[in-house]
Amino acid sequence: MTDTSTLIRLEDVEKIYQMGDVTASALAGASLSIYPKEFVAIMGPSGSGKSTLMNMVGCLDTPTGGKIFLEQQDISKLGESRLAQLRGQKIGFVFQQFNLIGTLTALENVALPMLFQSVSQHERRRRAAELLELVDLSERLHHRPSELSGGQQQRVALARALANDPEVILADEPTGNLDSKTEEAIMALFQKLNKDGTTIIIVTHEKTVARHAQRIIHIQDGVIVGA
Amino acid sequence: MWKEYGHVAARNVRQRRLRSWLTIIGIVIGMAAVVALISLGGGLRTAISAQFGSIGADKITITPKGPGFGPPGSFSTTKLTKDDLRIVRQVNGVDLAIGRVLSPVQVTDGEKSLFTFAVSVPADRESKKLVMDSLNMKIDRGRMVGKGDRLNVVVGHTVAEEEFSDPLQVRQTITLQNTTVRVVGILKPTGNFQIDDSIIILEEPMRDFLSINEREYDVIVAQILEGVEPSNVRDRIARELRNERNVEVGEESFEVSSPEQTIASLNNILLVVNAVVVGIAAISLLVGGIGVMNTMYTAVLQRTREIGVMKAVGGTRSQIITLFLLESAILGAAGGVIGVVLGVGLSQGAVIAGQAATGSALLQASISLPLLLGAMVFASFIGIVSGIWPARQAARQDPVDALRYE
Repeated sequence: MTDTSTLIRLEDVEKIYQMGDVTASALAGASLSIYPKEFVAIMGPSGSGKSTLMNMVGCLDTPTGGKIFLEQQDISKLGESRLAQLRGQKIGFVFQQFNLIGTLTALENVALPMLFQSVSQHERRRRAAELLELVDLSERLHHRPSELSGGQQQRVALARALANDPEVILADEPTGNLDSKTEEAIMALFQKLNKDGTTIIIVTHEKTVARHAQRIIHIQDGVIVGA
Repeated sequence: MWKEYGHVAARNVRQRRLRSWLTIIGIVIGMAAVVALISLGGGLRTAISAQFGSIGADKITITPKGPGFGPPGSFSTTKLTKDDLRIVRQVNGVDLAIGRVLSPVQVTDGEKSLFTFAVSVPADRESKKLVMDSLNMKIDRGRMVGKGDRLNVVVGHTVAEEEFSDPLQVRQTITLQNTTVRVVGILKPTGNFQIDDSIIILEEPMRDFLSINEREYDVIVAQILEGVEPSNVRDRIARELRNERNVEVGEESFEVSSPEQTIASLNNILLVVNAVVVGIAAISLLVGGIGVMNTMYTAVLQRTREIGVMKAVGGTRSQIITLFLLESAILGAAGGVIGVVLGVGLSQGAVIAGQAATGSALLQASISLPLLLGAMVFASFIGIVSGIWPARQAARQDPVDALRYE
């Protein structure tokens, strides 16, 4: 577990929520390693702690115990601004609800993460258009999310996740709101990205989604039960 | 960077079109009121200074000061006398001094008769010029009264144009009390409503027609010798008159004033009035600012999820604060620009309406570039200040909670 080739390493990560006098443990000593260029699925029933695990891996939340290493850097004690920068530079998110910004066009949505990294406008537009071409949406650059189908929106979200050339893409039930045919198309896109060298972690409870992964990590009651 | 952030912020403002406009209107109203009132107040002060400036700073006016607040010529005051005039004439630095009489008088033309003021002028040219200059009197039509004009008068602009059903004409006759006199001249508007509304007549016939005491004056005007400091002469006159009446400083039954003093005190009054009025208008700006704050709070709530997304894709607290502050600054600045345009329009409208109603050009709008730019900067500032709390609220959102927000 001390191997320096890991991309992400969790050591006995705990997350305890305090609600008044009641404490709830979402993660109770979870340990796992994810290596570069892997395609991993994290599976578990609802309430198993997989969303919390995903927030930890994605630098959205900090643990109450244990350590999280992203490229050998312990991120469990970092401040909010530093975490935001790490998210922007190293992690791409894909959500079940797509979470595109309704007032912005597809191109502007894809360019948004680069805005926060102070990439020049010209370069942002060029790269966003390139990424939308990669997900087969070059015809839809100036459409708003409301003018796109669910599958198209999720492809825009994927392009946005790739904007800052992240180390890893974290997808939380990325096909949960899509029909099975669209699901296949999106999963094929993930596989293509993985083949091109992007590390992918998908949180899901669907076997049809998980089977695309090279490795499945099971989580139950806040601990990893099989990797 | 600012351009792109501004672009995103402007997009959000446009997206909520109706709400944005309502918010902007809140700022517009306050800004328009403030700009209009400041420019009119400034214009009024300039106009008044110019009016007094035309009289010249080298004249000193002595008036009785009574226990009451009656107008000059009423009985509540202790009159000045020929002795006073003699003393003023002897004061070092005084070139020339004359006395004037003011009195209510009944004027009749045909059916209509009204009460107004008669104002005396001296007969000799030099003294007459002093009175005319000190009151800003200029002949519009006809001529001024002079030596030998016992039954001739000059009428003020308002008396001639507005008081009677037909405007008074040069060479027509009117009745003063019981005496028929001829109008030989009509004055231009002076800006002083009392003069515009009066009958100008030589001193001797006025005392006769209106039975005014030989020895009494209502006003004494002194012309100062060139190169002498007006305030020194003013103080000397006051001292001599106190000595004559045997009173201490503060107990005087007279007042000695120079135009500069009058301008200064009038300006002070106008400044205070203006400040109060602008202060009241500024309250509506405050309300407008609260409107911006309300809109921005609503935006933060409505866009909680969006804030979560921005944080997930790498937006830091300060970047998100910047986005929201830009949004509120846009609301403030838009309100400022429209408000300034509307305010300028309002003040110009007031000037035109004022001229139409009073016929005088006293009401002016003083619109300066610093005022306009300052107003716009201030409106943006209000927008930013009102946006600070909502923006901090937005930036403080926990990304996990914000993403989960429905």
